[in-house]
Amino acid sequence: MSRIMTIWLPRWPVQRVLQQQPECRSRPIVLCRQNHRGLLTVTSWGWATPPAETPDRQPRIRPGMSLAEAMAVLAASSGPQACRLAHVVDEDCVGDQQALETLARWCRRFSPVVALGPAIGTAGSDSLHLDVTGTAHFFGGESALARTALWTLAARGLYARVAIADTPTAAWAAARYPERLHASQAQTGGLLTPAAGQYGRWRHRQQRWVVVPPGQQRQLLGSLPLAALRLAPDACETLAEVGVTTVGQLLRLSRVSLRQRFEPEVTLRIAHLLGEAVEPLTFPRGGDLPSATEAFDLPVLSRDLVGDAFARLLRVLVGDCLQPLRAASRGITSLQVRLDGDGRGPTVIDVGLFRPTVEATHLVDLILLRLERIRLAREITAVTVEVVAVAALPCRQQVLFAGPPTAGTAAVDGLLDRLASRLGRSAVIEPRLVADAQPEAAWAAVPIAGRVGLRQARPQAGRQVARRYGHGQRGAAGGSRPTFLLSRPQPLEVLALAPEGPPLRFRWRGQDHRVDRVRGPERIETAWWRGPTVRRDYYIVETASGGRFWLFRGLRRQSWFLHGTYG
Amino acid sequence: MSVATLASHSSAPLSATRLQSLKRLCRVQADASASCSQRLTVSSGLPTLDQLLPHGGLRLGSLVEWLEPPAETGVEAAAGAAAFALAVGVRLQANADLPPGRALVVIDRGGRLYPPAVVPWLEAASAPSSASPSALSPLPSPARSAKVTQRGDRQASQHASQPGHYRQVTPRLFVIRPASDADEIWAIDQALRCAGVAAVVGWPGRVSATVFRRWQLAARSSGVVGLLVRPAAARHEPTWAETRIQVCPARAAATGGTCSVRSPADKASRDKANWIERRACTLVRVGGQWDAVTAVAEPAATCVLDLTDGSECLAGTNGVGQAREQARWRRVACRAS
Repeated sequence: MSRIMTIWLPRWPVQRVLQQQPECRSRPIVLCRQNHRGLLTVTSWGWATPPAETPDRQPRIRPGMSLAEAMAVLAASSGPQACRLAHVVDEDCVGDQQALETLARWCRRFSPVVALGPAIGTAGSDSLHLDVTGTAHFFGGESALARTALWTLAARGLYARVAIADTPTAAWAAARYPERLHASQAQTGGLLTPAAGQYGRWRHRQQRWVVVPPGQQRQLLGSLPLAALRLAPDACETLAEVGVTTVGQLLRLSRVSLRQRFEPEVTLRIAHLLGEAVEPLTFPRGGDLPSATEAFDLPVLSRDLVGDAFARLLRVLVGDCLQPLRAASRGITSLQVRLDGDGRGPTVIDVGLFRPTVEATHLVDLILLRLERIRLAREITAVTVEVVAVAALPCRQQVLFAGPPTAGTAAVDGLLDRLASRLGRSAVIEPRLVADAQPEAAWAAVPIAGRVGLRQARPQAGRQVARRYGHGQRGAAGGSRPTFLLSRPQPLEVLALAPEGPPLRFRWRGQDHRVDRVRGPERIETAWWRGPTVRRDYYIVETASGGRFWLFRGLRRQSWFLHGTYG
Repeated sequence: MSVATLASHSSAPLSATRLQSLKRLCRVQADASASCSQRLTVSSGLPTLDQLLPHGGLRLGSLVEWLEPPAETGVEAAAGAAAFALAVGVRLQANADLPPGRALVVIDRGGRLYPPAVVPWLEAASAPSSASPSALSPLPSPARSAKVTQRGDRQASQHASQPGHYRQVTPRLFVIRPASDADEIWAIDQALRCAGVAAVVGWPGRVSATVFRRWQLAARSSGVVGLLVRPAAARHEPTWAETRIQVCPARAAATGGTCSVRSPADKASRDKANWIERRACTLVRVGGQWDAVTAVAEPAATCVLDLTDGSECLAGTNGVGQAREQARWRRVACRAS
C-alpha cells in the first residue's frame, strides 16, 4: 500500500506575489484578469495580516467578481482606507505553475517522487503530491514528517496544509477540507491525529496537518463534501438533488447504478479515492534539470568528508550538473545538496543565488560556507547535487571602445551570495520603503537571495493597474526620522510641564538629560488593521549636551518612550 | 626608529629568525608607503571634512574611524557619528569620479539602522537636480575618466568640470545583519574585499589589532573605503585606520549655516524653525595610524550636515554658490594630493 503526502498551498498566486514582494504583506492583494472588453475580474485575493479587530467582518470577495465590485466589498467591510491600500496585480498562470514546479523540485528533500496536484478549473494546480511510501520513518514517523514539512515551508514564508493518506485523491481531500474531518474525529473515536498549531507570521490562521491511517479513508473521509472528489459542478448538483451531499453518502450508493446514471468520472473518482484504480501523477516539467549523485560503497564518516577531498568531490558533481546547462547558456539560481545518512532523513543544504551562475568554484564555495554551520549525521552514504532552478544567463554585448571602468556588479553579486550563504537568507537584506505612517512599518527588509528558488520579481503587466489603485507616496521627509531605531520602544522617566506638553527633562541609561530644543508633537495614529491602534505623539528632542533623541508619548496610557536616536 | 639603529643598539647578535622578521617588517612598511602614494584620493563629499583630512580627501582603500563622544556625556549613540559615516558613504557611492553602479554596504550589528533616514539621501545624491551639489558634478567623458583623480592631472580635472551628461544609476544599499561578533568581523572583511562596493559602514564594538590589520589589507586590495563608527574608548587603542575623527555635537544655530534648498526670502524664518533638518558637529582629527596617543595638534572644524539629503550646508551660500564651492574644493583636493 502506498502512502501519499499532499501539500496544499491555499491561494498560491497570492502567496507567490507575497514571496516576491514581502513588503505587501500588510496590504490586501487582488489578482485580476482582464477580459477582451477590458473588464477586470478578480481571480484570487488575500490579505496576510488583515485587521485583527474585525475577524467577523472578513470581506467576502469571491473569484469571478469584477474588480470594482471587490473594491466595494472591501470598502464596506474594512473601510475605504483598505481600498487605498489594496495592491492590484495581473494574474500570471504560467509564472504560478513555474514557481510551483520549482517548489516541487525543492520538495524532493522529503521524498524522491514529487508530482503536481490536480489543476482546479482554469487556475492551474495549487498542490503537490509526494510519494512517502516507506520514507516517513526517516523523519520520525508520518506525523513528524507532516510537521517537518509544515515547519520548513513556514520558515520560507509559505502557508500550507498537509495531509497523508493512501491515495492522492484521499490525501488531497483531507488537506483541502480538514475542518470537516474535525467533526468526524469525535465519531471515529480519535483515530485521526489532527493538530492545530501556530507557525510563523500567519499567526491568525491555524496550520493544520492530518494523517489518515492506512486503509481508513472510507470511514474517515465520509463526512467530506462532494467537492472534495473534484466532481464536475453539474454532477454535484444532480447528486445534491437526490440528497447526496457527502462522500460517505456517495460511497453507500451502488457502484453499478452510479455508472449507469452518471458520467464515468464519478465512479473513477471513487475508485481513485479508495485506491482501486491507480491515479496517474503529473510530474513537473523541467525533468531535464540535471542532478549528480555519488553513492559510496561503504558509509563514510562525516568528519572525513570535510576538507579538500570533499571540495573536490563537490566540484566534480557540480561540474557534471553545469555541463548541460552551460551548453544551453543557462545558469543556476538555486541548488540543493543532499547528504544521505544512516537511518535518518537527508541533510539538505540549500544554496540560493542572487544571479544565475555557471561558475563551479563559486557554487562550491557557497556550499562549503553553509556546511560549516551544519551538524551532519555520523555516517554519510551518498551525496547528491540537484539543480532546483535555472535562469537564462545574462548576455553581455562586447564593446568596441573601452568605456568608463564599471565596477563589477558581478563582484557584488558574489559578495551577496557568500554573505547570504554563511549568515543566512534573512541577514542580507535590501531595504524598501513602504508608505506607512507607523515608523516600525515604514520599511520592509527584502531578502535578496534564494527565495525558495523562486524567480526574481519581474516587471508585471499589471503595473498600471497597481499604480491606479495602490498609493505611491514614499516615507517621511529626511531629518525627521532617526538614524537608529530601537527594536522595541524603551520606557522613559520624563518630566513635562503640561500634561500634554513637550518634555523638559528625561532620564536614560542612568543619566539625566535636560532638553534644550524640542520639535513636536507629530501625532501618529494608525495601524488599526494590524491590531491595537497606534496612538503616539512624537517629539524630536535635542539635549543640552547635544544628543538628539526621538521620544513619543503613548496617548493610551500617557507614558513616555524612547524610540530612536539620531546617532 | 629604523631597523638599522635597532640592529646597532642590540648587543647580542641577532638570531636569523629575528632578522628575518625585521626584514619582513621593513618590506611591509615600504609596501605600505609605496601603495599609499599611488592610491587615488577622492572628495568625501563634505568640503569641511575634506579640509580636515590629511590628503585633502579620502584615499581609496583606506579605513576611517568615527569616534563617538565619551560615555560620560550619555549621548554616545545620539551624537551624529553614524550619520556622518553614512553621509560620507552615500556621497562616495554617488561620486561621479568613481565607476558607477557601486553598492553601499552597511554591516548593521544589532539591527539598529533605520533605513527611512538614509534612503532619501541615496536618492537625492543620485538624482540630478540643481539642489544637490554632488549631482552637479558631471560624468567625465569615457576616455578620460580613469585619470580624473590621478595626482597632478589638473588638465583632466578641468575637463571633468565641464557641464556634461549626468549619471542615472539606481542607488544600491545593502544591509547585512550578522548575529555574532565573529560573523560581523567576517562580513566586514568580505565586504571590504569586494571591488564592486563603494563604501562599507559598520559599528563594530571591540576590534583586535589583528582583525583591524586584516580589514586594512582587505580594503587596500580592493580600493573600498571602510567607515567604522567606534566608541570613544577606542581612542586609546592602536588603530590601522588612516584617519580617526572624533565627532562631538555642536549647536547648529551658533554656526549660522544655511541649507541648500532655501530661497533667500524666507530664509530667516526657516532657519529658526528647521533646526531638525540640520546637524552640526565638531569634527576633530585625533591622529591616524599608530600615533593616536602622541598626536600633538588636533585640527578641528565644525561641519553642518543637511539631514534632508545628507550633504553639507555651507555657510552663507545658496545652492549654486555651494556647488561652485564644492567644485573648488574638488580641485583643491586634486591638487593637494
